[in-house]
Parts: sequence; C-alpha cells; structure tokens
Amino acid sequence: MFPILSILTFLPLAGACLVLLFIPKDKEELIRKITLVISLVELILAVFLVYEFNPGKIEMQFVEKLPWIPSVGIEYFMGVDGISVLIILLTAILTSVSILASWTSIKNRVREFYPLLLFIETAVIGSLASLDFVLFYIFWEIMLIPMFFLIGVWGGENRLYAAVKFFLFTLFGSVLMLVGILALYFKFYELTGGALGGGELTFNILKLRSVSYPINFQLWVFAAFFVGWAIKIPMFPFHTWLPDAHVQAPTAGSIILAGVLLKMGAYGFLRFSLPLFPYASHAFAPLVGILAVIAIIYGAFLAISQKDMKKLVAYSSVSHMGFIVLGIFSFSQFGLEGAILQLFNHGVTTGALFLCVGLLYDRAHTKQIEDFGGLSKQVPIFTFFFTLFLLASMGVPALSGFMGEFLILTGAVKNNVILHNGLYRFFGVFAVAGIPLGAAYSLWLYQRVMLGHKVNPKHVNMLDLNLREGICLATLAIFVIWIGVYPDPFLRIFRVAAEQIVLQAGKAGGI
Amino acid sequence: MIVQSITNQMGLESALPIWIILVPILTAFISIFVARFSEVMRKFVVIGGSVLDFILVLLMGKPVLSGGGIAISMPWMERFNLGFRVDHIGYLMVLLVSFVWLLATIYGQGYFKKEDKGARYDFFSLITMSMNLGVMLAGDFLTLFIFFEGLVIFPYSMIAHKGDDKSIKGANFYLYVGVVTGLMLLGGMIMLNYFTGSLDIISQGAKLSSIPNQAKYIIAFLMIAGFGGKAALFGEHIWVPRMYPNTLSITACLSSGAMIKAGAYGIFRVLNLIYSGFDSNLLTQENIGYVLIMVGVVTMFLGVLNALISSDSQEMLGYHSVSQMGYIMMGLGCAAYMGKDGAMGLSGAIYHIVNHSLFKASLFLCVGAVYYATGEQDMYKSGGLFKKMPLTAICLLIAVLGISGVPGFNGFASKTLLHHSILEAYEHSALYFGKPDIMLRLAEIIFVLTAAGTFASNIKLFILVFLGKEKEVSKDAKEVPVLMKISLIGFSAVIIFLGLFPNWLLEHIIGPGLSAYGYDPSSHAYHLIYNIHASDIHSTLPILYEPLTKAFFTSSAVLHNLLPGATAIFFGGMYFILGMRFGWFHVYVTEKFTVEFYYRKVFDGFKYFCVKPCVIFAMWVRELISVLMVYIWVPGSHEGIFIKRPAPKAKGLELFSDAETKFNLVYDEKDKQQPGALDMLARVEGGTNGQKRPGAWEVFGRADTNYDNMLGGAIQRQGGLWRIFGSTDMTYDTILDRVIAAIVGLEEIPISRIEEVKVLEKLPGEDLVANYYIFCDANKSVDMNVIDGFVNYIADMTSGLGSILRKLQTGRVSSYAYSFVLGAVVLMAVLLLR
Repeated sequence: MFPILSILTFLPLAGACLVLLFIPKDKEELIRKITLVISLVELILAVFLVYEFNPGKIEMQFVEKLPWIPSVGIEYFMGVDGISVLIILLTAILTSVSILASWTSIKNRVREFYPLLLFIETAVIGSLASLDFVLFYIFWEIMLIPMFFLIGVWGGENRLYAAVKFFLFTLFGSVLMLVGILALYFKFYELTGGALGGGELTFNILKLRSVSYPINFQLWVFAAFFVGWAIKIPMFPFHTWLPDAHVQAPTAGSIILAGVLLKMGAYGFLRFSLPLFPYASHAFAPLVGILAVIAIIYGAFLAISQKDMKKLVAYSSVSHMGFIVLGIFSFSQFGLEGAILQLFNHGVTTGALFLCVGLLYDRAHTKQIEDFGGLSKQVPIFTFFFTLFLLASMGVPALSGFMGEFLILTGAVKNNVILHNGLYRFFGVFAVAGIPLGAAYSLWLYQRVMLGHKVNPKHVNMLDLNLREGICLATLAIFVIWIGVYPDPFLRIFRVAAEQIVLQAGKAGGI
Repeated sequence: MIVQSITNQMGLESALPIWIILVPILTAFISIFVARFSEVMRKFVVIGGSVLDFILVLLMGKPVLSGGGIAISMPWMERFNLGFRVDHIGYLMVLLVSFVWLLATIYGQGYFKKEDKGARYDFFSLITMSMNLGVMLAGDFLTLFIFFEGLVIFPYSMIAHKGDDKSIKGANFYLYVGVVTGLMLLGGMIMLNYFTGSLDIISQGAKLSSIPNQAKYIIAFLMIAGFGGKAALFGEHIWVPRMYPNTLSITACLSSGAMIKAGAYGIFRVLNLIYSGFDSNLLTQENIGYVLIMVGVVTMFLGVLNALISSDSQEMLGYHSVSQMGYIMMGLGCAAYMGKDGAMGLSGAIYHIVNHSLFKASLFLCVGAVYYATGEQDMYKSGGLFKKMPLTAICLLIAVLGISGVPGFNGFASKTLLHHSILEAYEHSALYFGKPDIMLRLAEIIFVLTAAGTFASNIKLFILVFLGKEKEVSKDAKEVPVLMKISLIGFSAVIIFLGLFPNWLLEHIIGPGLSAYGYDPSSHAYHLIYNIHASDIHSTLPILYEPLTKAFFTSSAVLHNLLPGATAIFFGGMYFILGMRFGWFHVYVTEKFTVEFYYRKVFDGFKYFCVKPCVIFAMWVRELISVLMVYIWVPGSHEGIFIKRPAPKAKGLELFSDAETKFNLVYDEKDKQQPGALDMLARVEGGTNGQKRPGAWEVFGRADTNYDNMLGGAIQRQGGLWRIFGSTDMTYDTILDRVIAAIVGLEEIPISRIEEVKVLEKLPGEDLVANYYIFCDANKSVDMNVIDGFVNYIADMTSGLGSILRKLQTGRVSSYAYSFVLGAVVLMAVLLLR
C-alpha cells in the first residue's frame, strides 16, 4: 500500500534537510523556489488524500502500523479520519500560502527561515495523523521549536519576550499532558488485568479509548489534558501568550500560528478528551462553556480596544476560538460539525487577515491603526480582499464564517450536555453577543483603515497587490466563498467522524 | 456547476427559480463590465437582463399554475437545504416583483441621463432584484432569511444614491431597522426550529399544536415584527419619513412597489405556518389575527394622517405606503381571525399587495417624472404642468384613481374585498363569541375614513401639480424621455386592465392558490347575509362585478360593493375642498407625537442605565489597577524577562508634517472633563480647497473635544510641547497659518475666511462605540495587568528565585570554601577539646 501519510509527514522534513544541507546560503531565490515546490507537492498530496478519503467509513483510514518500541508498547501507528484530513488540507494550503507570502519580506537568514516552515508542517501533519500517544506527543513537542525560532529570530522588537513566553506557556501545557498520558497508560494496564491478568501496555489511542475509565480518574486526567489543549487554543484565561506571539511573529509565522497551531488544541479535544473521558467532558462542559463564552465576549471587547492591527486580529482569534470550543462541548451533531467547519474557516480567514495586515506592514512599516486611513482608493484590489475576509470573519451570510457560527449556535442551543443543559443553552444565547461585537471591531477597523477622505501623506503612493500577493489572497478567498455558498462537500468529509464523537461522548456512564 | 447538475436532475422547469435568481446577478456583473466600453451597451444589457428575467418568470407560470407547483431543494449545509418552493401565491409575488422591476429599470435608463453613476445604481438595483425574487421563491425560512438580509444590505447604495447627508441618513435608518428586525426574525426562526425541528414554509399546525402557548405567541411576535420592519408596520415605520423624501423616485418606487412586499409576503407566510391546524390552534390564531387587525388599522389611519399633512410629494406617497400596508395587514389579520372562513380577507390582502405595487410604483414614477422635468418635489411649489406633460398627468390621474378605489381601476376590487372582510370579521365575532366586537365595527369606520383621506391627499397631489396656474419651476418643463414614458404607460395599462377585469386574477391565480387552504365555501357568514354568491368555479371567492357584462347592473350586491367606496370618495372630496379652504393640510405635529421620539427616549434611557455604570465601573477598575500596579506588583527595580514597559503615548492632538517632524500637542486637563471628550480619533478636514499639497499639515484631534477650548486663542510654545488653540469656526488653513506663525515667531495672523470645521469620519453610532470604548479599554487594562500580570508575576518570581539559587551556586563559592574551612576548624576543635 502506498504510505501516503508517512510521505505527507516526512516529505517537508526531507525538503527542509535538503535545503539546509545542500543549498548554498547565498542562493536565496533557489531556496524559496525549492521550498515552494515542496509545499505545493505536499498540497497536491493533501488534495489527493482528501480525494481518496472515503467519508462514509467509520474506521481510521490509510492506516500504517509498525512496531517501534514493542517492549513498552509504542508503535508507529498512523491513520486519519475526516477531522484530521480536513486540518491536513488546511495545513498544506496555509504553508504554501505563507511561503509565497513571505517571498520578499524575509531578507535575513533565508536558508533557515523556509525550512523552519516545512518543519512545522511536518510536525503538524505528523501529530494529526498519529494514532499513538507517544508519536503524537513527539510531533506535538516538535511543533514548538520551529515556531520559537520563527518568532525569536525573525520577529519584531520585543521578539525574545514573546518567543520565550510562547514556549514556556505551551510547554507547561504539554508537560501536564505528558503526565496525563502516562496516567492513562498505566490505568489501561491496570484495567485490562494488571500484572497478574496479562494487562496490556499500549499507547494505541484506539485501544485506549475502547475501555471506560473510573469517574474520578477521568476527572483528573481530563483536567491535565484540558490545560494542554486550553493553552494551545487558547482559552480564557490562558490566552495572554497569543497577542504577544502574533504581534512579534513575522507574517508567515502569524499565518501558521493562527491558522494551524491554534487548531491543534481543538483537535486535541475532539480526538482525545471527548472520546477518552466522556463522563469528565460532560462534567466539565458547564465550566468550559463559561470559559468559552467569556472568551467570545471578552476577546471581542479586547479586540475593539486594540490600536495595533495584528493585535486586533489576534484577539479576534480568541473570540472565534471561543465559538469553536462552545460548539465542541455541546456534544451535538450540529455543534461539532459547526466547530470543525469553523476550524477550517477560521484558519482560512484569520490567516488571510494576518496576511493582509502583513502586506500593509510591508508597505507602510507600521501596524498602528491610527497611521492609516482612506486606503480604499489607493489600493482597490487589496481593499476588495480585505473587505471580503473581514466580512467572512464577522459571519456575514453567504460567506464562510456564517456557516460555522450558525451551526455552532444551533448546536449550543440544541446541546446534548447531560448536566445543566439548560445552562448550556443560555451560553448559546450569550455567545450571540459575540457576533455584533465581532461586527463592531471588524467594521470599525475597516472604517479607520480603509475609509475616510484623509490619507496619511506617506501612503499616497502605496502600491496595490502584485500578482504573487494576489494569488495568495485569491486562493484563500476561493475557500471563503465556496464554504459560504456551498459548504456541503466540506461537511461531508467529517460528518461520520463527528457522528462518532457524538456517540462516544454520549457514553458518559455514571451520570 | 451546481445549477447545471440540478438542471440535469430535475429538468429545466424545476431549475427555473434558480435561474430567475441568478440572471439579475449575472446581468449586474456583465453590465459593469460592459459599462467600460459603452453606456448604450450597458443600458441595453440592463434592460435585456430584466426582460429575460421577466420572460423566465412567465415561463414558470405553466408548471406552477397548471401543475402542482415547483419545489426543489439543494444540499447546502448539515440538514439545512437551500429550498425553493413556488406555489400560486408565491408565483403571483414573483410575477409582480419582476414586472415592477422591469418597468422601473426601463424607466431608470431614461432617468439617469441627468444623474450620475447610473451604472452603480443599476448594479445594486439588479442585485437587490435578485434578493427580492429570492425572498418570494424561498421554500424555507433559512433561505428566505438569507435573501431577506440581502434586501437589507444591497438597497443601501440605491437609497443613498444622491449622496447627500439626508439620503445617507435615510439609508442608515433603513439599515438600522433592517438589522434590528432581521435579528428578531432570526430569533423567531431559531425558536421555530427548536420547537418544530423544521423551517419549511408550509403549514406546521400539527407540530405547533403541541408546543406551549407562550412560545407560539413569542414566535409569532418575533417573526411578524421581524418582517414588519420591512412592511413598515406602525412603530417600525420610522425609516419611511427619513428615506422616501430624500431618495430617488425609482428607489422609492422599487421600495414601495417591490421590496416592502417582501415584508407583507413574509407575514403572510408566517400566518401560513399556523393556518392549517384549525382546531388546535384556533384560539392562538384568532388572537394573533385580532392583534394584527388592530395593528393594521392603526397603521393605515396614522399613515394617512401623516400623508395628509405632508407637502413633499414623495414623503406623502411614502406615508401612503405605510397606510396601504396597514390595509394589507388588516386583511391578513381578518384571515387569521376568521380561520376557515377567512378566504375574503386573505384574497383581499393578496390582491391588495398586487394593486398597491402597481399604483404606488406608478405614482412614484410619475412624481419622479415631475421632478425630472422641474426639479421640484414640493407639491405646493409646482403647478399647471398638465399642458406641458399631459402623458404624465394622465398616468398619475389613473394611479390616483387606482389608489382611491374608484370603480374601473384596480384598487376598487381589493379594497372592496378588504372592506367586506372586516365587516365579515365583525359578523364573525357576533356569530362565534355571542356578542359583536365593537372594536371591529370601529375598524370598519376607520377603514372608510382612511380611504377618504387617501382620496383627498392623492387628488390634492394631482390638482396641485398639474392643474391651476403655471408656477415658476414649470416654465421649462418638457415631457419625459421615451423610456420613461413606456414605463408609465405600462403601469397605467395594467391598472386599467385589472380595473376592468377584476375577477381575472382572482380566478386564475389567487383562487386556486387559496383552494390549497381548505376554506369552507358554505360558511361565509357575511356572504350569506349580504347575498354575495360564491363563485362557481373556485367556490371560495365572491364574484365581484364585471363592468363589461350585465352582472354589474343586475347583481344585488352591487350596492353593497359600491357603497363604501362612494362614501369614502364623497368624504374625501369634501375634506379636500374644505381642507384647501381652511388649511387642514398644514397641521404641524410636534415631535412628541412621533414614535421615534419615544424610541429615542428609550434608547437614551438604555444608554444611561447600561453605558453609564459600565463606564464608571470601567474607570474605577482602571484606577484601581493602576494603583495596584504602582504600589503592589511592580516595584520599580524589576528588569525580569517578563516585564514589558509600554511606550508612553502622547495624548490629545497630534500634529505632523511630511517631513517626519512630530510635534506632540497636549490640551488642557479641564478639556478632558468636557462631556464626550473621549478617546475617539477624528480628523479635521484640511488642505487648500480640499487638495493635498506637498508638506501639508494634518491636525489630528479627538472628536467631541471642545474645539473652543482646544483651538481657541493662539498657539503657544510650552516646554517643548506645542499647544494649539482655535475656535470652532476656524478653517484648517487658519490653524495651519497659526502653526506656522507660532513656529516662525509671528504672533497675530488675520483670519481671512470663516467656515465651519467639518469633523469627518464620524459614522452613526460612533458615540456609542466611544462610550463602550472606555469599557473595552478597561478590559484591555485588566488583560494586560491582571491576567498577563499574574503570569508575569509568577515568571518574575521564578526568575528571582532562579537568580538567588544561581548566586548561591556560583557567587558564593568562596563563602562555601570559607564555611568548609570553618567547619573543618570547628570539627578539629571539637575533636581536640573532647
């Protein structure tokens, strides 16, 4: 069988090694071209994966299984379902776009920059495809290192602070997660019979989630995992690394960070927390719901008050990710599908918005909102895309954001939460407040940057998009419109997977 | 591709609704593409697209009217499909909308020779057309909602086409009402979906009968109020007086002729939901119907009162729209109130939707033609145009007779039906509830009075504008271009056709449409009493009259049919004659008599109770945090990795030039305490004659800061900071001169001219944003200092601990050695002394 998942995972790594080892430092154009070609091949493979993927099947697909460290039960075990396929596609798209987008803006240490983007791709796809906890954890940790360097080396003025903060925050979460993984490992051994009854030592996720754990154990381990995912998403009150990291990161770093890395937290909830700890998920749902609603409203308020465009978009991500968490913890088909669709949407729109801000920064060398004004006449094509993505991000019907948010809110109202489901319904109602607030910060940003008669004299001769930038934005715009008008092909990919999660989360024994 | 596949699957006829929606959009895009090459081509494309769409609508007639209607459903989103369903009534609406839009578009091609930017107008007009058709074609409320929201957004540009402040304000009001009512509609939809699990536009009586009563009322209220904003129900009509007088007559025509009907159609479909479960929902339905009758009556009466005292012809017609929508609501209410006996009300309401579109569109276009020829919209200032513009005059007269309900013109049929339906409701209340409901009798009287007012004000419009002495403005008036003539004639022809053959629509479209509701032909209480026989063909409808046949003269019902109309016209004529004599048309109402006044009061109260505490709380929090920051958490010496120091920012005015030179300007402390002196950034308009010039200065200040204080006096130099003073009425140039004067050391510069300084870029509602901005800012402060501060504090502690450990490890190695030696000495001493 064609090991497509391994190839998807390790092709970028191989490409990165190729560039680092064999290409001389001064051939910058060649380096860019090689990385771009590799990312495009990756994209083609990802599209092929989606094409070959059978959305009707319940089981994991494209499974690859090899013994790795048999004595402790660690395997090289890969496989995907609808959710991971979608995020793999998103990763491939955004990596290509971010390489293309940073074509001219990166001038120093070119040979190191582009391979790092490929490293991240390897790590992300690897963790999305792995079905073994140790394998997953390794990829999960690898993800941090290239991002640390991207922020720390190519970032803005305060980059070291942001990079260290990002690293420590995420590492803190991952360490707790590691404790959780080990607890799970030994508990499974104990439950299957322990030392006497031939207990099984395994990190295989599918096996681990086939048994039901004691309630107390579920609560503790869920909490340990929860911190890991919550920091990555980021949920209130673990969100403070995000604006710093985004503001300091280079444009490509921001796109990857917002578009892909944040999704991993939500993916963790979907893949691990809900199926493994259905009882604890239900028990925690009201708390998580409160945090999500706080993130939605509080994040939106924070976004309104920002004076830096990138920070504004970063806080808007906090708000949008709140919606996603709210959808996930409704345990309903609507909510989950909305959340997964919104993962994709948010990746595309927020990536595109960061790209837009980056393009403005390349031209004007400032991200402060008050330095801009009346740009719509100077840069009409850019304005078109900026408008489109802002509208999509605030959830205007017939653009992608609306679909996800609509499903999520419907799901939150029609939730399957066992404890306090009436309370959870109210969360759905409160979360609606996030939509007008979203419109407030988006439109106000738009008004201050794009409209008005007064143009800062420095920006009178601002150039409009060139072909390369246009291609980047147009690629993302296609998805925004496509999902907005006809989301069914996307929903079809992960419908079965979402149903499975609903089923598994429904097995909350003991309540 | 999707359309293609559906066409293949369902056959061409079933795909027609999708094509009908797509054609205007495609035309719109083609038209702006073509507009680059030739204006004539563009006009041709626009007209061609509208004609094509109308033809498609006509083609759809066969499968809908003779078959079982069209219902298609496209997979769209998890369990929500994009559904389109066309039945008889829906088809009638689609036909109407596409017809009105076709004629208005043709009219517009003639009209826009004078005005600029016809391409932009037509672009948005065609897209709005598509949205409007989508509302009528939709098969479920979600699909309908999407198009309905489009109908809120896209007309904005059409309404604000003139581009002056008033028209923009009107468009804003339209948008506000649209957004708020759209949210109400969404709320109703979500509740409906929650309780019934379906958003289909079919009667869901069976499902609705099992849900709690309050929920039923709330759903009905939310959805009717949601559609009512567009239908200009009383209380939600506040956009009407702002929009109609200030917009183009074509927009007014389209709004009144087509868009407003989306609201009426929506309410019709909402009532549709409840209709079928006659028994279980009877009481709910009756109550809703009763309220709707009352709302309709109030709407029609107040609308016509406002119309009587308007002098702007478009404003008057706009108020008539409100009034006529009141008629329609009353008819729908009667239908709901009477349940299975409500055929008369429903057919009257639907017929009146059609008729109102036709005569109101025609009226607006005629008024627009007058404006086109004379540039005058005030009817008292124009006159004697009949000889100059005979065709327009005749078309206007036909429309006036139509709206007044004169026999032989279209309004008569529907108004008679509506009048009978309210009487029927009165009889119904007597029959079913023991005693007659006097309110309904009163409603009938108000109905007739409203009709009288309608006649009075419309005939006044005709007489003032076209008869009498020729006024100054009409000296150079000429008849309008051909395209506009075609459109006017088209409307008049249909008005007369429907007037002469009033049963045609009833028999061919409305009747078969209503037969789906299972109305009971034998229980027409009112019919029996007044001896109006049921039609033989579609046994639910009364035969009206046929002026061309003998039935007009022989039917015993003729008297009853003609009496209310004749009364209305008599009283209307009396009112007109006496009113012109005694000045009854010039009553001025104070602000307190408008609904808007009370909305504003409520809104201000809301602001006071919501925003004020928020702001006070936010300021308090900010103060507290700054105190905490200074005294507790951040002792000055820390230089740990997690301590960020935000760069100090200059407050107040900022002044900069091209040449990177920056002057920080501050304003007085006391200015900050001025009401509204908030963090909003606004810009003072600048530049000589609005043009930029090299090295131009820009003055950035805060909106609402009292410019008297800030800019009054002169510029002084204070400790490296610049301070600008100027008065409100100083121009940018003066300020600039003062800046330069201050820099070069001159003191006094004479002010050459005085203009108002225009504060730009203040969007409506920005003050509210500004109020909340403080709240948001406080949140930011919380985020930075409390949540992030906690993290930083921990990190700081950790790094401090680390450095202590490091010092112990490295810095104190020597002391380590000393202590080792000391220990050895002590040990030895102990050993020795033992």
